[in-house]
Amino acid sequence: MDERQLIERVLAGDAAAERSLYESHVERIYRLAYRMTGDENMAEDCTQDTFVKAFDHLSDFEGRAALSTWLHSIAVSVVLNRLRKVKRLRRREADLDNVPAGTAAIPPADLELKLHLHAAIDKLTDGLRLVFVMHDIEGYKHQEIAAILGVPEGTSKTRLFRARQLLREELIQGGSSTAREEGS
Amino acid sequence: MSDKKLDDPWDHRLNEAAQDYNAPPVPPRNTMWATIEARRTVRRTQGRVISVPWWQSRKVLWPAAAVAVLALGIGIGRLTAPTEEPPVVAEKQPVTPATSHELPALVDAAAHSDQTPGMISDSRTVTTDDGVRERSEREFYRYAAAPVLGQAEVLLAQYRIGDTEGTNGHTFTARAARLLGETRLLLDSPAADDPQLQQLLDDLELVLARLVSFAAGENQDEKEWIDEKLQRRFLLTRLRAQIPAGSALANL
Repeated sequence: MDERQLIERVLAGDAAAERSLYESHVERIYRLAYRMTGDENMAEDCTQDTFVKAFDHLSDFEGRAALSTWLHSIAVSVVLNRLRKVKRLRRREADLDNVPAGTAAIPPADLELKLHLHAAIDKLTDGLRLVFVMHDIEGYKHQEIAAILGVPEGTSKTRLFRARQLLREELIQGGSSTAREEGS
Repeated sequence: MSDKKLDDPWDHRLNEAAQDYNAPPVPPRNTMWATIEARRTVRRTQGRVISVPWWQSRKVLWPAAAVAVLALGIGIGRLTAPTEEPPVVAEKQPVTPATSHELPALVDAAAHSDQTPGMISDSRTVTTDDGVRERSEREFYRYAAAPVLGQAEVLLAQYRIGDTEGTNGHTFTARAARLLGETRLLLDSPAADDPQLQQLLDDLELVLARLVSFAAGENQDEKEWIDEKLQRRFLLTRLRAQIPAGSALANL
């Protein structure tokens, strides 16, 4: 069944088609929401909001973009709105006690780099962080990001360049010896 | 998949280190789907309610019920409030007519003696009024929430004895979905300003969301979660504590 048929069946009230549509896209939507929020409950809420909104407005979907792009644009809007509301402060202390299990084998220098980098990513504006997360972490293409955000492809590239630049600067200024040694 | 260009070894290193950033767990697909379904069921149910006559619509019924309850509360309060003690009357003194030159001084003294106690009395009235108003508001919203809490209690009691099928299994699901919607409306209303009520409504919302999914027969594994929540959070006991004893509203 192609996308168009699936949408038609959902619009006709077919519960199995709804579930099928959900299953096809939930993984990527949830991953993006989690990467951006860093919080399990928020990621779940955002994912649920995205699909509820999508089902409610599916009749408005004109099919000019891929369904995935349309769903992602809803997800991005939901996530950014939620982040604006919550203004959550992340604490990423370099406390080895809080490092997740399985990192014991990571050399300390790499671990330090990761902790500093994650803190630096948190400091990026949501707009830059979104592009960085989508492109460098989740592997979206610039073309896809541009379509989701409704901006030209060049804007997506510029934002990514700026995000990387800020991360470098932050790591170097932040005193990560690893960053200085390895970056030079 | 991605069009990454990482010629710079530093960029490569950075990229590798970034992969762990907020690394997502496996998405709880079934739980999320259950909530999505529940929310959609509520919307559909609410959509059907729109077609009821205007005098049965929520917009009319809720305020009308609230006003009626408030009026009843005030009436009962007035009937049962202790009557004020009669003011202590000073012993009668023989009245002697004031002479014309004594009159301005007497008027001045009377003004002073009236003003001071009057002011104290006013400020006391304001303080008492604030407290009374606050209590009244809290009671008002508790009474307004009573029908929902009463129906939720009945529904959960039915669930506990396994009466989710009854004569029509769909009815149970629809009732749970409608209650879920009403609980959310209450959570969005000033009723949620009362911390105790808010906590109860929060817990109720969670349980009802799962209950809708369970009753629809989609997630049988939700039962364990609901049972645990009911037991550990004493939900039924707390619901009963919030419902006014013998309230006819609970059976609405």
